Amino acid sequence: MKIVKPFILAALLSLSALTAARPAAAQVDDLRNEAGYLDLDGIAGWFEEEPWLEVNIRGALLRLVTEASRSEDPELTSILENLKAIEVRGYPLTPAQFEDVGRRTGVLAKELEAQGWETVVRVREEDQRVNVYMKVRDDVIAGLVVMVLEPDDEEGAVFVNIVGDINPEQIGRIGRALDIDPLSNGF
Amino acid sequence: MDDRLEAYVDGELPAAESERLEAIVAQDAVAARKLELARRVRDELAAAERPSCPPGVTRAVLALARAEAAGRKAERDRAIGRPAAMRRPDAPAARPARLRALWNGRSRSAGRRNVRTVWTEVLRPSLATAALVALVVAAALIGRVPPTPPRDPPATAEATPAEVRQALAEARWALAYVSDIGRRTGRSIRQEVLEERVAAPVQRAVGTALDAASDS
Repeated sequence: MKIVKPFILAALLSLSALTAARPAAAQVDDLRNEAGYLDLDGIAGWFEEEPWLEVNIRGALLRLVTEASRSEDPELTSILENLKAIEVRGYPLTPAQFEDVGRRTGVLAKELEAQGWETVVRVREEDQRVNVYMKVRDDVIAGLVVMVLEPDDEEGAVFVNIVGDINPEQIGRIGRALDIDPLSNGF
Repeated sequence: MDDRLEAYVDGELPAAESERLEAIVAQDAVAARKLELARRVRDELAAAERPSCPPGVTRAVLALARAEAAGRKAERDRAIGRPAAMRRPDAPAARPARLRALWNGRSRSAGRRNVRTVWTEVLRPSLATAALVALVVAAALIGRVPPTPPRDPPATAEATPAEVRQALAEARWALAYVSDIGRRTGRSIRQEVLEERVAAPVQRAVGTALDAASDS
């Protein structure tokens, strides 16, 4: 019995070590297998400055956020419950960087299209580029990528990747709740 | 071709490529019609009224997010010395405070004493044996012996209520931002969809019919 007990404990500790602990790197690996995931880290090389906004909500943190929203915003909860990650990068963007970053964005857009992402929005204006892509899997939106370039604007360059089952109408309602108009035509 | 036409009418095509395209258009009636269509679409888009977000809404949301992010950064700086919001996704997560106390250099001597105390007084020999066996089993299962104590604890161990609140604000902001972009570009979406899915196919069909008629 004195010999068996340590091995039982050992088995429990081993199982807990292998299953309970989910390091950040493992969470990223999980995300890479998601159809709607785009690794935004590669974008960092396009800019000399650090991002002014970097959001990585995934894994355990996303579950905590979902639970935290339950009491105050059920609509938001119902969105978050179906998501795997929300990733955002925001960088300052000068007019001098606009063309170069716009070109790189165009290359990335073509890569996304080659990987089966569908173009939802493509706006090319003198002082603005907007690209929105979505990945559809089994008739469900599995991911959304938003790329916005507005030089000298407060936002600058913003890249958003939402991973998971996305309901555009719900997202529109969240926008309305913040006095931002909803997606009138849906994605 | 369509992309190059679009870039051409926007004045974004390099000079050499513009010349090549102009040469093609001069000899290709279909390309010329496409160019004319692209110009019309550009003109209509430029003339179209663009409903905009109520003044200040987007900036107010951004300002709020930044202010909260700044507050969160200061809070994290105090708590763990590095803000998670600015941490790279693959960067190691912060160690829980109780582990930092044992591992950081500041408590090297005290930490050594603490470790010895914990080892002799808290851990029983059977548990120590179990832990050792567990490490060996785990190492065998993952194919290598862990060289150092784990650097990436579960995210639940590091997220404070303030961090969760901040993450909630960021999630709400990100979703609202996506919604706002959708609304701001809604008109352009309709224009592009009309151009790509209605005007362009009709144009192609008419062009094909005209070509066929001219061939016969």
